[in-house]
Amino acid sequence: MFDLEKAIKEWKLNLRKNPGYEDGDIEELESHLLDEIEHLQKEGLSIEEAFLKALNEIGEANSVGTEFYKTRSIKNTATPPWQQKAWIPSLLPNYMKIGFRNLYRDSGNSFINIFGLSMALICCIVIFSYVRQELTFDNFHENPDQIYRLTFQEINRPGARHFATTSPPMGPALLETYPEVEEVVRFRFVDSNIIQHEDMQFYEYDVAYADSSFLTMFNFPLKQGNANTALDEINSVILTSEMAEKYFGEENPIGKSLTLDNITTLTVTGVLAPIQQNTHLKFDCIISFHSFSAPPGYPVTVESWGWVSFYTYVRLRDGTKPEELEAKFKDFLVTNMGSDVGENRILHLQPLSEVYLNSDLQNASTNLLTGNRGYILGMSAVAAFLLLIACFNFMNLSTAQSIRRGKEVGVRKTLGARRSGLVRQFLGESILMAFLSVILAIIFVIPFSRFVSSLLGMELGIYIEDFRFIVPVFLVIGLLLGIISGLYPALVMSSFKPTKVLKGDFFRKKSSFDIRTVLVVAQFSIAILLITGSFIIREQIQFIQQRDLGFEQDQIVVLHMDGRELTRRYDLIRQQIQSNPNVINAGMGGGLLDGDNGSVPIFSRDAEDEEGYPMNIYGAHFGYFETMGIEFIKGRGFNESYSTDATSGIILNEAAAAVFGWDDPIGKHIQVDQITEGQIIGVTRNFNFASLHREIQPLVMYIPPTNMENLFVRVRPGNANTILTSLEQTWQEAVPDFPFHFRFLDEHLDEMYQADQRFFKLVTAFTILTILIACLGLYGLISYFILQRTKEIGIRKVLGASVLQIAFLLSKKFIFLVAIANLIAWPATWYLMQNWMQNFAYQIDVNLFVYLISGLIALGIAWLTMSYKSIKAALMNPVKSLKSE
Amino acid sequence: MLSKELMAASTRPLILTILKRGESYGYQIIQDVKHLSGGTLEWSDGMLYPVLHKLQKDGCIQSKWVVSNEGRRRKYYSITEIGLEELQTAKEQWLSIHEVFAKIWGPTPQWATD
Repeated sequence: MFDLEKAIKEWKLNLRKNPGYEDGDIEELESHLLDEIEHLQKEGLSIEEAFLKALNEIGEANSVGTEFYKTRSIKNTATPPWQQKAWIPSLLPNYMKIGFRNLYRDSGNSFINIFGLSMALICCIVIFSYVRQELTFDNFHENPDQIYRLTFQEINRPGARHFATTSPPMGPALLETYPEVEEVVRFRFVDSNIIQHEDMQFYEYDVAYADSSFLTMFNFPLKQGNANTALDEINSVILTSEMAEKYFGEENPIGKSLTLDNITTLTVTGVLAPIQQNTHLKFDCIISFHSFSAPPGYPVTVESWGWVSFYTYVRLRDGTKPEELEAKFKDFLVTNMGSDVGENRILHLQPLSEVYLNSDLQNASTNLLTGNRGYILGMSAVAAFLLLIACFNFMNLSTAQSIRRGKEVGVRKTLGARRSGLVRQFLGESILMAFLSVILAIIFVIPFSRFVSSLLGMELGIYIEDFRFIVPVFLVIGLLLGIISGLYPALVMSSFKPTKVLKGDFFRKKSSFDIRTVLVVAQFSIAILLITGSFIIREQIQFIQQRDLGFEQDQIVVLHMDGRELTRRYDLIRQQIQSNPNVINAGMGGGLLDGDNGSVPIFSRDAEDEEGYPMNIYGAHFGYFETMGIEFIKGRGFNESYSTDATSGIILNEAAAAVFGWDDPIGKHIQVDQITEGQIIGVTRNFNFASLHREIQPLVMYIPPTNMENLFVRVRPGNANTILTSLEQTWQEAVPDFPFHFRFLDEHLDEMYQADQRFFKLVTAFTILTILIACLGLYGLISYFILQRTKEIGIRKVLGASVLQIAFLLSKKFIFLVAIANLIAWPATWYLMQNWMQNFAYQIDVNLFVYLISGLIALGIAWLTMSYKSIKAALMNPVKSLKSE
Repeated sequence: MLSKELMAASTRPLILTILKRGESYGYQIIQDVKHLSGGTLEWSDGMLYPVLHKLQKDGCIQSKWVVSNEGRRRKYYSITEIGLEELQTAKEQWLSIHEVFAKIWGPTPQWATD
């Protein structure tokens, strides 16, 4: 049943919400309404219909209210204040004025706030570009998800390995057997070659042989030449544009010839367009695969299924499931390599997108670029930390800054400000601050990334296109941050009763747990984590670099030369080099001890079971062990005076000897696959022939029937330039027909830890930045803290407190917080560092002092930050401070 | 329907004219206007009251609360001297405009044959 009285009461209540109506207005309207209803009822409408119709005829309550307001305002056309258009509140200019005035009056803290946030945003972008660069390797090829690399895994044996390489017949056989395989490319990298054009000759280290499908599978367009035929002919070669320029300058290289190792004549059939994108394939020129044959002395040919040294890439037909194809590979291996191999090997398809980052496979890292997933994660974590800290700070400081404005809020409220207006004002101000930082960040991101790039010696690409998403993302971050950091003060401040705020009671509010405390603890935890982390990383890297490798890497110059000639003329060259007064000793060896070793099965008929063990092999010659300072625990090194050494002398390292488990290995028989066989003449102490990320594996050394290309020369300490000049002279007398090419072994070995070094530099840089940002935050906080307690400090001084006591009183809360932060940071650091150190086979024992020292450093920095402010406050004249509030 | 501007301009003299005949209250005034105009003048009822208040503020009319026989409170308005003056002025103005239009729109407009 319709209740007219109730309906009218509600209608009146609703009208009262509109400030346009004043006393009497509503009553008058009510009287009108009743008259109208009466009239309508007489016309035969029901009471409810009459009410609704009458309401309708009176018109819309708000516009009537507005008219009432107008009759009272002085200006006839004035819009009532509650009806102002939302997008330009009339108080906006006033808000802006107050906002900028606050920025200016509190410019120190505003600067800290804005600067801190924009720094963090910039760093995030820089890190982001690094991470993106690492994650987008090889994504520019056509349908990269259909390209896979074949990897070859041993199973069912101790020390089983997983190779990034397979054997040369594998790829073509797969192509023939399985229709799912669309095309196959084989790569073979060769150690180094002399490439000559007219009178120019250089050693080239990134020479690869590849099948002609290379140009169709991968997206490396040719600038010159025909991609379909460029690699078809034997001895045809395509060059990168840099290499073409190096040898041919302005000339057109197509059809010209290059000489390889003084023997083979290559014809240039193509020049690649400059490669802009990141690819893990590192090459300067590509020679057609038909031109490749096994080097002299190798017990294998390109037909050998057992020669696992070729990178093989396959493109699967659209829609092929790699798992299904992999499942068929077992039969394939049995058919082609016998049931033994079929049972004990697995052929995998590794997606191209994983090739760059999955570098822990055997043979993966010698000629291909490799990344490190851990570092990407680490850097992303640093970026997240940094942004988090900066956001904390921003919120923290904005909160603190606005809390000082209790009086302003009180006055505004007294003058009739509504809560929504105040909230809008505070939100607007913090959004303004956030946007200022965002704008600064956008302006400075490019110059800063250039600076970082040059500092780290790596290219960090930030492109104009990136701004298309950097700008919106930043604006969103700015908006969110502005809202989040403005919301707390806005809601808290606007909720207070003006009387309380004006009396200053607001400051007295003490709660044991407030959000700012949490924020301080959080950011110092992060800072401590980074400090400790960078200490440990530094120590680990130093440890790696100063570790006794088992040989003396300093003062070793490696002279490089064509393997065939060096091996043939070794005795003579060695003699002449050793006659140089700066040279202590010289000896020829295979690889550069950077882990680039071959690996073959090793057999011994003296062993208990005669199955072969896969072991690394290494070629060394007379004088090598003496030159390198490798110690023997049993037996001796190769020596000219034993005529059999050159043909059947075998030396094992300790790890290899341990595999066989003989008490006295000397004289035992060893067969190195089909390469050589002989008797053990010595066992060396373990030395690191590969990166310290890996443990020392078994190693078998012999004077190989194959060629060696490096002459290791130990020189006397002294001026490197003079020594090199005299070495070069001797070299030119001894081998006038080959260019003098040298490397310092220690520098070469350091290159293996470049990624670690870079990571360390980055972490250090960001640690400093984090501490800086955290301190800025702390500084801002304590200034407010002191401001709130000015009177208290005055009273304490009047009552006789000393400066030191007051300074301590002011900072003790924060010192306590930093101490708590330590407790949080330690376990987190421990966990993260344990994870990171898994990267290394040799790890430092982390001294617990490191944690303590980092904690103390953080405390010290925190205290220093605060002491300036707190001592200044403590020194203040109490007469002044008591007057201040 | 009259245009908004014309409505706004004519409301004041219309109310004053009605009140000149004797005091009245809002509802009654609206009924009178509706009746007199035969429905050509249609206001949203509520809009009358701000105009009344404005007139009162300008001193053209005065008001008093009266309790009617049925016990309902009504606000009665009556015209004042100022109101009468304003009405006189308005009347002259409206009539002169009317005259002009009457001449121009008459059966043979003078200026057309000249």
